[in-house]
Amino acid sequence: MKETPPSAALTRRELLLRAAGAAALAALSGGAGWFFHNRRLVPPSRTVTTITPFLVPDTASEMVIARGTDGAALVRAAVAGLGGIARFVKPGDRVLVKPNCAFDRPPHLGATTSPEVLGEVVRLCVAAGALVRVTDNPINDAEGCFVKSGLKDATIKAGGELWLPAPALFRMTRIGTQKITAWDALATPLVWATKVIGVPTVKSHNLCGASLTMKNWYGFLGNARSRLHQSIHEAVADLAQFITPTLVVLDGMRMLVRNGPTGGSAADVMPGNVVAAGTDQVALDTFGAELLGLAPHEVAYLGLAAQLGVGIMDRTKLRIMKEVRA
Amino acid sequence: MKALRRYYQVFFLALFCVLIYLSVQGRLKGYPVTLFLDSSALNGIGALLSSWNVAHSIWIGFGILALTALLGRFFCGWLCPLGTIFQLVSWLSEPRAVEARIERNRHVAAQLYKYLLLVGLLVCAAWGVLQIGWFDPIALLTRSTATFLAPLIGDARHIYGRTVPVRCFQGAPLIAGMFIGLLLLNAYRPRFWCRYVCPLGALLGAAARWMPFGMVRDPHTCTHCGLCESVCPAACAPSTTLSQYECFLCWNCVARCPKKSLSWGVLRTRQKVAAAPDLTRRMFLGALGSGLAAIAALRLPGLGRGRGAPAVMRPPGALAEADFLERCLKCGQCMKVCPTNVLQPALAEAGVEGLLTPVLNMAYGYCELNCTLCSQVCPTGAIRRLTIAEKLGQPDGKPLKLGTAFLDRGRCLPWAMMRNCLVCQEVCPVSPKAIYTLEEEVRMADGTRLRLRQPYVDPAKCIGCGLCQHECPLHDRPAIRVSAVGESRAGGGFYL
Repeated sequence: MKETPPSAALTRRELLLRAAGAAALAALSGGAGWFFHNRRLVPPSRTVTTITPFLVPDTASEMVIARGTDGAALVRAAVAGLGGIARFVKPGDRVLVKPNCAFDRPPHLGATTSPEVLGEVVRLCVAAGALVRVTDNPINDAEGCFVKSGLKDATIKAGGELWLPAPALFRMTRIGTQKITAWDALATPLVWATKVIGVPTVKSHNLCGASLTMKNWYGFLGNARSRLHQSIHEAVADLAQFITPTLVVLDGMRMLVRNGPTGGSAADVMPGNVVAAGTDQVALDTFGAELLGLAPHEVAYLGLAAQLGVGIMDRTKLRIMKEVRA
Repeated sequence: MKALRRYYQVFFLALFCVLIYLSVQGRLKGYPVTLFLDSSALNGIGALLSSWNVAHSIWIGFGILALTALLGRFFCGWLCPLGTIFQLVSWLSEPRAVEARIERNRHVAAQLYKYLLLVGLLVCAAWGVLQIGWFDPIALLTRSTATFLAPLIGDARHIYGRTVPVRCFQGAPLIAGMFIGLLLLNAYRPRFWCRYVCPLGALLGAAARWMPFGMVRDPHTCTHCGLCESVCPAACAPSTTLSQYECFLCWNCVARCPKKSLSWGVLRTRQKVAAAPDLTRRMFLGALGSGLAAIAALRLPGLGRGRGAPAVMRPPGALAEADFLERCLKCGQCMKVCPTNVLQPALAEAGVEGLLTPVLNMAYGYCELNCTLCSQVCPTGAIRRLTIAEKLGQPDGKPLKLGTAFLDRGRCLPWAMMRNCLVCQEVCPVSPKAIYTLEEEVRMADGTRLRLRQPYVDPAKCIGCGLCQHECPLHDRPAIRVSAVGESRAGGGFYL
């Protein structure tokens, strides 16, 4: 390229090109300022995800209580009593199973769902031709909780997959009508799922008396969820409205009767030797509270949830109510 | 040999990465994840001088030192993962012109600075002020990986998600800044750190004082073309004096020499070689004096050594503060394995001497009850090996206490605002719970009466894990906070 002497004036062509470049830059910067001016003074509100009910038609208001000593056999007996897993899970279903895996405790301390009960629920769903994933957002480190509680092993051995909570899985989600109308929740797994099965365990709870089916949905929440303890009973009732499960299998094999919900000592645990399966959260939790020696009126959220139409407390009034031994 | 050396370098860098990858809950199954930290003779000698103890596997460094006395600084050329990273960056930023490269690789007097740094650091260590980890290349790389490279690269999803990684570390910018700065310096002089700063290299160089073997130059065939210097990462002057204490044994010069004048073999006294660094007495005494001055300066605040109590909580199994400071390398391995992210590098909390040592910060996490991972990976025993049974209180029934929780009744919701809460009691992991409640009748603003339960802490049961503080809904300044008061490592038994 020929070098231009420094004293030489711009040629007409050069002047026009430079002027065009300067004008383009000026237009771009001015245009950008004008275009974006006050565009997002208030950031657009986050969209709220709604979780659809997972209850299969014509299965509402059912409950079977199975008593015996082998947890897996009790799960089979209770589900068989409801007419078999095929009523709830169809081939090709995506089933999300929610155990109580809140703490990193070994199974015998009763702070988490019994591995044999969770394992059998997963196995039944896999046998019914479903894809099964197990999730929970625990208080302690998630991976550690699933490993130490034996629930990771139980899930994988039964043919299910573990879905550990990650920040990207949470979204603002519609919850209930009382105190928490919307909260950060594990929306991605809940939207993925076609069926949701709760597998809570029977535990005492320092603040609300008992942690059972409805309180177990707390494990779907994220963010600063400990704030909702300021009105825990209303919050639990909200959670009952949040999830309408396909099926609930309440694990009463090892009941944490005191020092809940964490426990930590074998002396806090009593053998319950019972598994209840059903679709009425209120009836199941009333039964669970009785197992812990609590009268239904001592656990305020039961009455509240019943008032909101989630279910009924008196299980003798259920459409189907059976007791079996296994 | 040059190709072989490259394979070794790639292998050991990969091994370092694998061991870091394994340093996570669930993967840590007795693998020797501290292998590289143990292989640094500087860590070994430093900890030995300050604590009179060679902990666990740190004897490996002494083995390397013994081999160095025979063979020279093979560690720098063949093993050191930080050296390999720096060599890679140097290679990427190298000018094309041979003359420019020769100029950059010229042996200069500034290479002696690392020996002075070594002397200063060892003097400090001998008086129990262990600051070696700031400059030990393995501790530096482990710390940088744990607090900055692993969260950044290992958890890269957060970058396009515009969030933060799952594991975050306070002070990470400081550690990252040091590491990136050192990377950039390779563009000025190849392996800048290794040539001018690295005290481990200096220690190994000093150990090579009497080594019988080394690089030999045949003065009869050498034409002084300087090509060997264009490829010499160590700047050890292969075309003239061939300073053996600087040579990395990289074999570059042997491979590059067109006349085959360079070879490895028995050193001959007739040959003009520089065996030991040319430190003058004045320089040596200067470094010694600087070290002593540093001890005085670092100890002046008195924190953790009897005057002034640092407001820090240490990991379970940490020795009493003074013993801990004499052993902690600040390598960050404990922070890497901690599953809850509670272990954080200290900034101002532990005093200047304790900068970057591990402290518990409950804003990030809490100490997991059934976990002793940090104690399993501490290379120097600053955190003593602990079994879970021991941590939980077997055999004497007294659990290890990290501190005690204190309630702030001015903020606690049931105390100050007459609202239900008790999250602290809910999550308290000990059985029976260290937080108990008493039901009280309180007056509300409108004069009505309300019965509600208010929490109390039982200091005899509290282990100071910090879960209550971490979970307290008053997230910015929790209404229940743990402090090191009553911690087991300070002794004191029943008394807080």
